[in-house]
Order: sequence, then C-alpha cells, then structure tokens
Amino acid sequence: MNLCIGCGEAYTSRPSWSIFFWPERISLLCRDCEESFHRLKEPGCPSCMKQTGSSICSDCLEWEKSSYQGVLEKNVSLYSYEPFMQDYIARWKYRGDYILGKVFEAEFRKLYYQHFQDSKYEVVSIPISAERMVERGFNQAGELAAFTRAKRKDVLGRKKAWRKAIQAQTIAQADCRKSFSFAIRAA
Amino acid sequence: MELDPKRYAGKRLLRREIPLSTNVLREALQHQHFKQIPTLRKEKNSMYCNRCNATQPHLQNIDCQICDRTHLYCRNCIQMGRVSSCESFYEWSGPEPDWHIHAKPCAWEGELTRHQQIAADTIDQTMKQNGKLLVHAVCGAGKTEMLFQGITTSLRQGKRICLATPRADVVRELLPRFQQAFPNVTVQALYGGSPDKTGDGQLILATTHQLLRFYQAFDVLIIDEIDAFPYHADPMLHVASEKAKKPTCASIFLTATPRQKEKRQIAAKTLPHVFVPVRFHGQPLPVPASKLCIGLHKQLRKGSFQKGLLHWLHNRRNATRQVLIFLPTVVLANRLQDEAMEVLRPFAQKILPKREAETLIRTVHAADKDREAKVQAFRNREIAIILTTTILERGVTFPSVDVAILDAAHDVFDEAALVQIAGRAGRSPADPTGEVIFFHEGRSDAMDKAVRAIQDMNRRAKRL
Repeated sequence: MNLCIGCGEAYTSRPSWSIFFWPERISLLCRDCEESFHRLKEPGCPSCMKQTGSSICSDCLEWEKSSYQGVLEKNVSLYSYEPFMQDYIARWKYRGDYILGKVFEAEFRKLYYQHFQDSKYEVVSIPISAERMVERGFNQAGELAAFTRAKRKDVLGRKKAWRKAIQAQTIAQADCRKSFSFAIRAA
Repeated sequence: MELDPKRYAGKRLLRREIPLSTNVLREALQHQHFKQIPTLRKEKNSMYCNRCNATQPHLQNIDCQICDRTHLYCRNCIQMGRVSSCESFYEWSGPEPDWHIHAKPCAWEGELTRHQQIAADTIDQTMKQNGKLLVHAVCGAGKTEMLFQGITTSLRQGKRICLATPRADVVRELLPRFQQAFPNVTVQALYGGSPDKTGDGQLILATTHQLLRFYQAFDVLIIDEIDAFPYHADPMLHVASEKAKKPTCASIFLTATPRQKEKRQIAAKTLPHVFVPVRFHGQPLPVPASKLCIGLHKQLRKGSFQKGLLHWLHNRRNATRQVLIFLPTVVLANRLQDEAMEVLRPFAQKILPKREAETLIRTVHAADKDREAKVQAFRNREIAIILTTTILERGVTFPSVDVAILDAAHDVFDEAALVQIAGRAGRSPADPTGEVIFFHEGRSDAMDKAVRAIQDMNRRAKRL
C-alpha cells in the first residue's frame, strides 16, 4: 500500500514480475492520476509536434517568416497540457513539491533517446532567476535535463532587465501553445 | 528599528513570511526578539514536521540547490508554504503584545431567546474559566449571536480570540457580522487568498488551515462546524488548532451535528456540553419526507428528471418558495443542467414570475468560479432553482426555501450532511416552515438516522 503523490489517496499497485525484480519501477501515482496524464500519440507537426495533422503547422510557418527563422530545429513533447497537467505542473513548480517531478523521469529519458540519440547533442536547461532559486530550491528544467542523464552544458544565464519582457512573452506563448513542451536544441 | 509585537507574536513563521530585510532580522535575533526553531525534529527514530506534526510518508527528499544537500521537506502542509529542513521557523520572543482592553466592545443590541441565553451564559463562564465546551445547537439556532456575550467579556479582559471554521465561505459570511458587532476591535479574516494576510488582529476569523501559522497565540479558540469537512477527518487540522492555543486557553466547539466521537464524549461526560434544541424563532425543524422512486438511478444516468420530483414541485404548499436541489456528484449536476432548463422552467417562472427565464435555473459546485456570485444571486431572489452538490449543505442561510435531495441514499450524504441540508429550510421567522424531501431508490442507514435525529431534537425542544 502506497500513498499516491498526485492525490494523496492510498492505492495498491498491480502485482507484476517487473515490480519483483525492479522495485524502483513501482509507480508513484495511483491509476486514476496516471490515466489523467495524456500522452501525445500522433506524430503531429514534424517541427513542433503540435497535434494538427502531419504537415508543418501554421504556427511554425509563421515563425519561419519572423526574425526567429531557422532557430527551432525540433520540439518534442511528452504529454498534453490539459487542466490536470497544468495543475500538476503548478504544484511541482510554484509550491515546490519536488517529488512530483520524479514521475516524468523514466518516460522523459525514453523520449529523449528516441529523438536525440546522436552524441552530437548536448542538453541545455533554461535557468531560473536567483530569487526563484532561493524560493524553490530546484530548477524544474534542470531536473528534466538531469533525467536524460545525457551530457549537459549550462551555458544560459538570466538577465534581470529581461524578466518583464520575457514574462509578457511567455504569457502570450502559453496561450497559443497547448502542449507541455520542453525544447531541446542541437548544441 | 521597533518591531510590532502584535504582528509577530503567537506565530511560527518561515523566513519568507517575515517581511524584514536580512539586516533587520539579524539585529532582531541578536536582541532576542526572535528565536530560531528547527523545522523538523527527530523523535524515536522518525522525523516529524514541527508545523503540522506529519511524519513519513509525508516527508520526502529534495535535492536542494540552496544548501547543496539532499534533505527532507514536508508535503503534508505544503499548501501553506513549503517547510524544508534547511530552513528554520522564527518565533517571537520579544515583549508580549498589549492587546487592547475594551470597556464596551459590543454594539450588537439584539435579544437572545431563553435557550440562547442559557447557552450564552455557559459559553461566557467557560471562557472566564479557560475551560472546554461543546455547544450542540440545531441548524438555525443562532450560534453566532450566542458567542457575543462571551467574546465581550474576553475583550474586556484584553484577551486575544480566534474563531476558526473549516470553510472559507463561512469565514466570508461571518466577517461583516463581527465587524458590525465589534466596531472598535481589529477583526481580521484569514483564508486562502484573503485580502488581509498579516494576522495581527485581536479578533481573528480564520479557516482551520490558517491556524497552522499560529503558535500559542490565543486565549480563546472557538471552532465552528467541528464536524465539517475537512476538519473532522484531517489530523493535521487538529494539531494546528491545538498548537494555536496558549497553554491556558478556553476552547469552544460548535456543531449542529456532532459525530460519533463527540457523542461518545458527551455520553461519558468527559466533554462539558450545552444543547440548544430550538431554532431562534421557536418553530420545530422541518422533518424530511421520503419518496421511493423506482428507476431513479437509471433516469439520472440518462440525464433526465424523475416524475416524482416534478410532481412534488407541482404540489408544494407554497409555490413561490425558491428551491434547492442537492445532487451527489458534480458530473450529475452538469449532466442534468440542460434538462433542468427545459423541464423545470415552468416551476421557476412560478417562483419568480418577473425575471428572465434564462437565468432562473443554475448549477453550483466546489470548482465553480462564479460560485460566490451565484449564491449571492440566489439570496437576492434572482435565481429560482439551484442545482448544487454538497457545498451548500452548511453555513449558508437563505430565508425561504424548499429542499429536495436526488438520490439521497448516495454515500456522500451521510447523517450529518442530511441533517445539515434539511436545516437549510425554514430559517426565517417570516417563513419558519419549509419542505424537505429525500428522493431515493432504496433507503440508506444515514437517511433513517438523520430523520430520527431531527425528530429527536424536535421532541426535546417540545419538552423544554
């Protein structure tokens, strides 16, 4: 009997041989919570994985016309960013409930190696500001980067004056992006 | 710099909850105005959170980049801000605050009934003697007014008082009433997202969760609706309320529907109690009628209303009373919404003939953003029929309503919930009766117990 880290209810995981051999594979979530995470199944847009058909989506065409032309090679996403996921991510990030992130570890690593197996890639995580770090004690993007266990390169920093501009931008972006995405770029 | 003891006394705060610069805080620590306390403690080989007393599995590891170590943090009380073991609590150890001694704090001039007066005197006595008391008063007995006398006495002695309740709705409803009754006292309401967050008032109204921030703060602690969710089932909130009390402190518990635990304590005479079986207008509680509806579950699944409900709506004694329809789940409430608009419209128009038909029927549930506005609209007689989950079961007062419960045998309707729901009807002295009806497909124990409890209270009221 375990307590689900998502909803706090007690649950029993389904017995199987894999749990016997790899006890660390026991899910941290109960079935209800697990089923509320929706994996993105379609290949979607080859550039950003937006789940609309299999051709380059209208967003990406717009981007290619803007000053960001050629910046994004490829975006890969794991789950659909629905209300349940939004709430879950908010609890992980803003409340600083560290263990909630661990749920993504195995799947995230699998996805990474599926798409970026090549050793020419290095992982760069988006940093958080110093104040956020003092509040939170961890960087959620750094966590995801660590999950990949790949070679990392922390080359990005945060400029103070940019904060407000970036905030306005991310709000605008959050409105149009409906998937929980994390950009991994070729180094 | 002079720090205000009222702002910090009686609390255990995390660094980020103290709005002082590093230098000022360091100085305050040197002057021993604050002392630092570890956030977690070890007892018999297990760790405990010093705020909510939780232990494994609520304590989990974090790879903390502030201190570059892996250590524990508490998930149990994380909604009040994360407690991790690399931080400390700051507890005020400077001069004690001087709470104002009010000569005549109470401006309420209403009169209590004989039964209310008996309870008010007992409450007053208990507060003077720093004792413990359970006030068992039926729905609509006028519990708040019974407290005023005791609170007045306590304010005259310069005591600090807290009224806590599990539900934020109730806190919001109580604030204006207390501000009117005690105009010269600093009354503050604290709940998740409340405009006031400082908690430096002499009279605090708070949700039971907010008590987690306090430590040995109050001379008088009143807990309203002790049987309500989430207080009755959450050990963390019991810990919080115990810790918020000063070593000598009066505790008053209020309830209309005591749970098994309190009933046992009353029977064993380990908890002093006072019982108010009559409503303040003196009329008996409406006794719920039951109606067996064959095929109810099937019809609810299909999203349609039972004929029984329509028949009842048609034959009510007073067709202009507003109607509360309780449903067991949110899913069901949403499913029935469209059907309700069509089928219930003629009844709604009879209740409020002058209003636009489109807005007369509404659904409310816990996650509803417009919940406060809808409840207010219902109170203003702008909505005729409201479909609701159990969130409206207690703490809200509507003057003149009839109440129906669909699928009353469902598990969410336990005895306390049913008694509370029945208690929504007939609250106003102008219209002291009301109809309550349970629609069911097979009675539950809880239904029988609720009806018996209501009849019992009416009988005891008559004997007085």
